[in-house]
Amino acid sequence: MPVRKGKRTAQRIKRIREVFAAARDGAGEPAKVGASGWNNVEAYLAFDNFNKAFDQFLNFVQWEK
Amino acid sequence: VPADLLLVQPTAFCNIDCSYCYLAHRSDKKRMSAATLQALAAFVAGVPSHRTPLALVWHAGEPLAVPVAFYEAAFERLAPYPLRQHIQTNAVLISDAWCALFKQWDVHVGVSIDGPKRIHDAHRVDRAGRGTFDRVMGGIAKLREHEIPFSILAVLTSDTVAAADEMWDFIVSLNPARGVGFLVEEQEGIHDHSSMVGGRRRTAFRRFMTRLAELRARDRSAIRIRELDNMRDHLVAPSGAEVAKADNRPGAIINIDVDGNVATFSPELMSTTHPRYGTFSWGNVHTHSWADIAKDPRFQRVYADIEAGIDLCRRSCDYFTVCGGGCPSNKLAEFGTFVATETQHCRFFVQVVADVAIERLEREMGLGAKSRIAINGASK
Repeated sequence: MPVRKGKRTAQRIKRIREVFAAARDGAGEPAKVGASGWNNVEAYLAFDNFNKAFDQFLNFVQWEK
Repeated sequence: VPADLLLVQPTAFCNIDCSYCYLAHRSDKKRMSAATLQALAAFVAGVPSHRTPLALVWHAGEPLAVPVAFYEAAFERLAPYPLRQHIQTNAVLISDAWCALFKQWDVHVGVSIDGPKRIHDAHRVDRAGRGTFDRVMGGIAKLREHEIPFSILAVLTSDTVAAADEMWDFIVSLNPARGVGFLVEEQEGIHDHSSMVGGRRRTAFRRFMTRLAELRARDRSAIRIRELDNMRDHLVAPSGAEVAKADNRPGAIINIDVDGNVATFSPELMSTTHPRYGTFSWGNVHTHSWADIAKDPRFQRVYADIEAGIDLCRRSCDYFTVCGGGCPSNKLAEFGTFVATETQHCRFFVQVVADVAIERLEREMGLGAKSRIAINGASK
């Protein structure tokens, strides 16, 4: 088995996704994110929606649940 | 897997001679025949797709090395199908006639340009060795004159990553409405070396991407930076999501060469042969449907090995959920097999880009002060 790369990276990704999942679900501001951080999360989601309408030329990857 | 993208090569020929090009047949002037175009249209009708319209990218060689009339005929023939036409060009040959075609058919144009003149002309030269920058800018001027939006695609070398501010100023000056994407000079195909190998280059690339993100934020620019923005999309995906990479999934990208030969997975494989696998085309639009190709035992063997490589990635790499298992063509070029894990492409476009994007998200969300210092000390 190769050595895992990235060390704590998977944990950091998981934490970011949890915050965004809470924002999408309307669950409110998680304790680990301050008010300004929460504003930024909501701004990101708005920007995200904007980008979905953008041309995705040569965007070779996508989400898969 | 339903198709995301059709990549079609109208000719293998390229009118310029970039120092890092991996295509072995770029002097071959053969162009796709009318009969192959007709067969291509019938083939496209049988391709399953979950995107409407499905993107069809004319990508060669240099796609504008064939006449405007070629595309007029091709677009007419393909008009019954829900396709969005794209062309990725070096822009040297763009004229009023090309612009009229782009407008008439709403073609999305991507321009390959590496940066300001001194950076671009170091590698993107014509067959006499002369820099092409001025001619590319002439093509871009035509696009602007006709109000045709475009994206830009730049290959990064060791010179570029040392010049982030200069590169950003240049990108802003072009104002590409459809954004900017980056590639890194890679050892692939007949190009067997790269100026971007090694830990110091990786550090320089990290500084470059970090600085670009900072400059974009400073300028409040809306210019899309493909790598950073795609990675951000992957990072904020629903919990438990895995990113699926199109070039390691069968049929997600379908590559069709000038003779109508059909392949899938990484487009770069189309110009590669290998002792174990032979060539990487498994049928032809004249004689095969996509369903026929998917049953070919040679295709199945490649698919099984690519899957084994993805499984190794899944078990060994913490970046897997934002990557999806690496690029098969890079694995084959670097290790001689698909059953492999980390490549140069992974180190740059997954690990470094993810680290930069994670750092920015954490900072903006007020998460993980300790990890900020550990991960991105070089950019402070």
